[in-house]
Amino acid sequence: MLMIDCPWCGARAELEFRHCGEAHLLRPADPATLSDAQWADYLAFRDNARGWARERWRHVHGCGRFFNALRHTQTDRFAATYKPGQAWPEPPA
Amino acid sequence: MVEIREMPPFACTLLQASAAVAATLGPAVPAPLTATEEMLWLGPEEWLLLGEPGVPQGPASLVDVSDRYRGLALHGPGAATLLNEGCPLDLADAAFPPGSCTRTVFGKAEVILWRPSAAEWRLLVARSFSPYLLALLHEAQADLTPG
Repeated sequence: MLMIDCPWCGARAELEFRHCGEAHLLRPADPATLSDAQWADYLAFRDNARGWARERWRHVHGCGRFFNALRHTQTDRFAATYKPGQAWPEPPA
Repeated sequence: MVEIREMPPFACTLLQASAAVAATLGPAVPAPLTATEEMLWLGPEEWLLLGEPGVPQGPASLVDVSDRYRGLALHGPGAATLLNEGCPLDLADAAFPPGSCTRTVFGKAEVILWRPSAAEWRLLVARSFSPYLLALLHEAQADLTPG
């Protein structure tokens, strides 16, 4: 079973977690000034990277907390997990 | 043979507060992934209080969830093996020593797993899931019984 390192609980089984989409999305400070295309880009368009991706995960059947992870979308390998607000790690070479 | 027993109903309160405010309630605040007889750690700044809660000195959220959970108590030497039929956690003594407490899953039900002592394990589960959990535990026990 795939083990994921929760920053608070340590290594836990994958089925305790939920994937919550791309991480590090910043809500525009003043949405009223954006064009429809820019707003649509913020709301709906994601990188969907083939390779290393920074994602939000939630330890939903554990401590309940959100955290960020650096995961390879082809191999499912987790390179790092880190708490929200922490700087993102660089992908392994 | 592991004894599976339904616990009598108990009062409990969900507390969300900073660790400093939680400490003003009286009982010692358990470290992450552990529990005391009065207080179970569920997550950062989240605890389950057993019994009547005190009054916190500071901003806190206290929600009476006494009717939410049913408790199951497991006694016996094979309890960890039985639990591992449905729970993916490492329940060996080194990884989950007595005093440990965490939310996890058993089958498709979310449970709070608490090990108050070496020989006793407690499962707190949402009321509507308790027949499911009980049936699953009895089935697992039948699977593990030789012959």
